[in-house]
Amino acid sequence: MTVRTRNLISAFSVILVSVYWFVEAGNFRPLSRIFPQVVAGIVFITALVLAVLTLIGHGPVIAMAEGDSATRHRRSGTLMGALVVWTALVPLVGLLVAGVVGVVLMGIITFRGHQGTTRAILIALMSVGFFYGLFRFVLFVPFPAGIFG
Amino acid sequence: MGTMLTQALMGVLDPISLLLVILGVGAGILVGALPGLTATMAIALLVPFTFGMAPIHGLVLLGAIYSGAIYGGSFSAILINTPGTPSAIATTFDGFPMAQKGEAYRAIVTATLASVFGGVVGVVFLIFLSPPLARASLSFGPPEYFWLAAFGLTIIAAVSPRSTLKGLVGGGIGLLISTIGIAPIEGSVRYTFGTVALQNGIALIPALIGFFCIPEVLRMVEESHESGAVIPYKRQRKMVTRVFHRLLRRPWLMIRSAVLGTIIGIIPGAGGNIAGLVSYNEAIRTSRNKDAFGKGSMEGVAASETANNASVSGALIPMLTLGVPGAPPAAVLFGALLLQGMRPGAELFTSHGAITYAFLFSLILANLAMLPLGLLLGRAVARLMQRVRVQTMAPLIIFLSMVGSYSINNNIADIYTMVGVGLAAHALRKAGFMPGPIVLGLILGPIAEQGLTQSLLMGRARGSLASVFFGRPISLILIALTVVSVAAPIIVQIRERRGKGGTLQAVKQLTQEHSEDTL
Repeated sequence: MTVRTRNLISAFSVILVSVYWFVEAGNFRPLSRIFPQVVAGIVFITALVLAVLTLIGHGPVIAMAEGDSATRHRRSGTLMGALVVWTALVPLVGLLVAGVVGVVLMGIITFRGHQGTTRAILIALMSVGFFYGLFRFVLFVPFPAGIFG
Repeated sequence: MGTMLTQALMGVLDPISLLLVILGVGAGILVGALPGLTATMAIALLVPFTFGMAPIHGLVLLGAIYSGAIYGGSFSAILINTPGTPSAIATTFDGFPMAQKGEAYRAIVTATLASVFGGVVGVVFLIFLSPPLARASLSFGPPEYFWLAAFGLTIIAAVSPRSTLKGLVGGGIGLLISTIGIAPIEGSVRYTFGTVALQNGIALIPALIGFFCIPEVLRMVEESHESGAVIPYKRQRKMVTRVFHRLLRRPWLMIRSAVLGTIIGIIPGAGGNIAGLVSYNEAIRTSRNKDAFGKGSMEGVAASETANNASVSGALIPMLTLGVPGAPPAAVLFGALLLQGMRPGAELFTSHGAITYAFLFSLILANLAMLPLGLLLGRAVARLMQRVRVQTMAPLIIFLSMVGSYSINNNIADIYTMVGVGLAAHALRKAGFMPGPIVLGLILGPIAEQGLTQSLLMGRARGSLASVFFGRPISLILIALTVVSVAAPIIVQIRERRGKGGTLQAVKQLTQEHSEDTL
């Protein structure tokens, strides 16, 4: 994706959000709506300027990271998916079990292709155990246990 | 006052505080030295740990980590030509060439002494400037707070290295997020989508962890770069004395860099990276031997490191006195203060004076501790830089982010907030919107809203809005500063096109080339 396309997509997304924010604020009481509407207006104008400048070829140029972008996006997308799965598991199986599953899942994604994957995951799991124990038994934080509670 | 200072001294000199200073500086040096781990991330992850501590101990630990991490960035800048933290960008220009010439230890000693000097001068400014500024904040009414928030947001956009426009939009996004929840006046429930958890607004600490930890983790895994080869070095006898005497012969370089670093740190958004670059640029401009810079000049390393460590305390001045953080770590410290029930402003120096002064004194100790710790731990840190792949820490950082977010309120919704904010911040970063301006918008939003609505009510009562918004001296000063901060980037751009950019252009260009992020 080119810088121009990214600028345009982000500018129009922000414009849509600001329009929603402005319109929705109409349902609030007078003094509760002023600030969101003022801010939404300012954001709308600045995003519009961003879109117009990009369209006429004067948009901000921000260098993209070097390297194979397809691989980068794939890694990033997989990791974001793993993070969502990890988060969804917390209320179901508790923070500790979800943590173990999440660390193994992310470890595989993160360390794939590198040497010492198993060792790295084991170290990560031991660290998880240490910090869980610290919070649970020293700081007495009642973590959710899900079906194991 | 005397009793308060005595209590503060006793607080900072108690064994636990001293131990926390040493641990904090040591951990900070390590975090700062490993590229990919940032000072902000370390502080954000540690805030939940400090929740259960006495306020004084929590703040001492966080302050020590902040100082240590900014200094620690110089190790990777010198030994692998990669700034460990954005603050050390300018240190790479001469630090790495020195290491290549076999002068790595000399460069590290220079960075250490300069960091200690800059850090201590910065804290002295902090101790003497904060109380009167905090007292001055008592004369701030709603209009002044509104204009202060406006100034904070425009200045961060102005110094945003990637794009002023995107900085402004980012700040606006932060302000929009800050309106989620029950309105402070008239109490409408806003943008909660029927979710009870959002009625109190976006939880600040989980949001800060999300903004500063998740995108960093995703980036470190995505880029998956191996760290460069670490240049080995050996300790040399009497090097500290030799470098010390050399720096003593350049008093103006040191004093100018420290003062510049503190002033730049005070400006919201202009953190250690800009302080280091401006100071480096000034060192070149005033040097008789300009050609030496970029080829391994000790003065270059000293200028950058003095300024970036001085900016640590500079960034705390507006945060402690007005609630406007000057840099991302200061934004997280702001969250830590709120968590401990301490609100920035005059109250910090009166009711909470003993804790606040103990925190300020602990920063002096932290800076002094950098000298022995940096020189003793230096080689161990270099070995760790060679062996540890920061990517291996990614799953652990995510786990700590979840545990930390949950443990503040024992609320699972805070984990969702942290992950949601983190993923959104990652997407926004890809689109060129840095987390700094968004976080500042989030923090300044409530200040700006209360200022705006209360000023409107005052204006209605007096029958003149203009006299409320534009008729008070402090407001007028803040309006002038806001106009300057909006106009300055435009003027710089025009001068740039005419080839007359000067220092600002050089700094902006260097920052764009080397920095991933500012505030």
